[in-house]
Amino acid sequence: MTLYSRHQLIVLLVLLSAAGFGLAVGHWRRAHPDVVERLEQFDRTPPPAGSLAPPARFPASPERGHPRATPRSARQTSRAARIDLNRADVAELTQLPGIGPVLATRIVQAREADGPFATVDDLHHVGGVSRRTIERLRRLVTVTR
Amino acid sequence: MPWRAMPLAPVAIAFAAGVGLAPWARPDVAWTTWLAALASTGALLLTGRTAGATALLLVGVAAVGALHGIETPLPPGHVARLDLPRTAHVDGRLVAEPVWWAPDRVRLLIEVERVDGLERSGRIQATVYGVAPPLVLGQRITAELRLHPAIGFRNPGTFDYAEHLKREDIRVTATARADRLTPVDHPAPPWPERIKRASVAAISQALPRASAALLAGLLLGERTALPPELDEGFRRAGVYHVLAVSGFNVVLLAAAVLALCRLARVGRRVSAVAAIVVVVGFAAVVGPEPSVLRAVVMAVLVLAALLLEREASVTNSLALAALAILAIRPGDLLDPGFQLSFAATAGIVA
Repeated sequence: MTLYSRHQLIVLLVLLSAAGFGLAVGHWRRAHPDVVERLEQFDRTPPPAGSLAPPARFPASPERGHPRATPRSARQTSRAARIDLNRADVAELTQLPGIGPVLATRIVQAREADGPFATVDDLHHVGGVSRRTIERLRRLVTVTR
Repeated sequence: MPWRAMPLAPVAIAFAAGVGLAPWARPDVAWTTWLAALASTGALLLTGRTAGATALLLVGVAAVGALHGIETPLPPGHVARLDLPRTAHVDGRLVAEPVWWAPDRVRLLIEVERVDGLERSGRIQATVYGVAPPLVLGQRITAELRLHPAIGFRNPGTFDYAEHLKREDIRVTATARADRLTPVDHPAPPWPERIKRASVAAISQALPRASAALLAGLLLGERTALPPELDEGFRRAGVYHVLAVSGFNVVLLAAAVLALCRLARVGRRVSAVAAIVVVVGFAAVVGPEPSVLRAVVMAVLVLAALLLEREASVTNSLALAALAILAIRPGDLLDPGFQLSFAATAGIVA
């Protein structure tokens, strides 16, 4: 009396491995939210101008079985969490890719000296901020009056 | 019992057992069990001992069930980690259709985006007192809420409301005044909700008030307009379940679609596809209760068997339905609706 044939067992074994692997990915994501956030930002920053490589894509739904944490909601919150160039302090600015403490201090000084930024492109007037950095920041920051 | 005719039943039972054991399971033990089960099943398969491989495979399934059922710690920005009770300014989105208990009392389920301007996550069930503006699923709102941890006052052994809320992933409840709540955008209701509203409106146009409320309850499980004395009458007579949407509704609907298609001389496969579409649409309209999900999964499997001209095993479909529901919402294992629905169906078909 055997419940399953050999083929059925192989199929079930593959499904079981996949299920466990999916759970492992889910657990890892919850244990390292900061790494996940960085990886998810990765494909949303535009590729450097002139590069022909397609933007890096990460698996769209690694959270099988965890419908509450859909990538869509994560994306919405991160969009809502754009950093405001006219309000952010040095600590907040250093969270941006390509902005260290020195540049962050310069941005704040430039803002205090010349008044609020009107567009993201005004960052160009801050010494040390390259065109490439501005392109990378464009989707992560906003400017309010 | 012909176990070979229902290969999914042992898997479903093992998975449910694992989910049930989750409160006592330790993640490291469960992960080790899973890995060991995978390796030893593979080894036994290679040596051709299928009976032993089957047993170990089911142990692995139970380990995965336990891992899936283990409660994960709340993320750092979760609303339940705030210092409660407190009054806070909450921005969020409605993730369920508002439930109107009365014209001046509505219950909302809010997916939190910000609390007092800081980014937070989690869900809040809020009751709003006073005449609130029209609200709809998916709408963004901003409101001043009085937040409490979800607690249930109960006698030991009876229904535990806090546990019930936790299964719905709600750990914080709130109250608010309607004039402190402002919708931020005005999206169109999603199509299932539009169908539901149109049906309820059509019913209440054609029938007197009490009959309309009763029919809406029978057909769509929409009980909010039911007069209190009628509600109480059904409870006292012990037949309140006829007002809940269940597998019976799904079967009637599927059978009606099949019969109509036959009258119209449509082919068998096309009728099966039509019935699947209608049944899934019905589930979207009435909402994801365990009994509805169970019935819909089973109906889709039986109809798919018709489509593929295969023999359908009802017990196997029931097992797959249990697997699917527990995979999506492991907490449902302890939900009385889930237990009654599956126990009753298993009793009928086994």
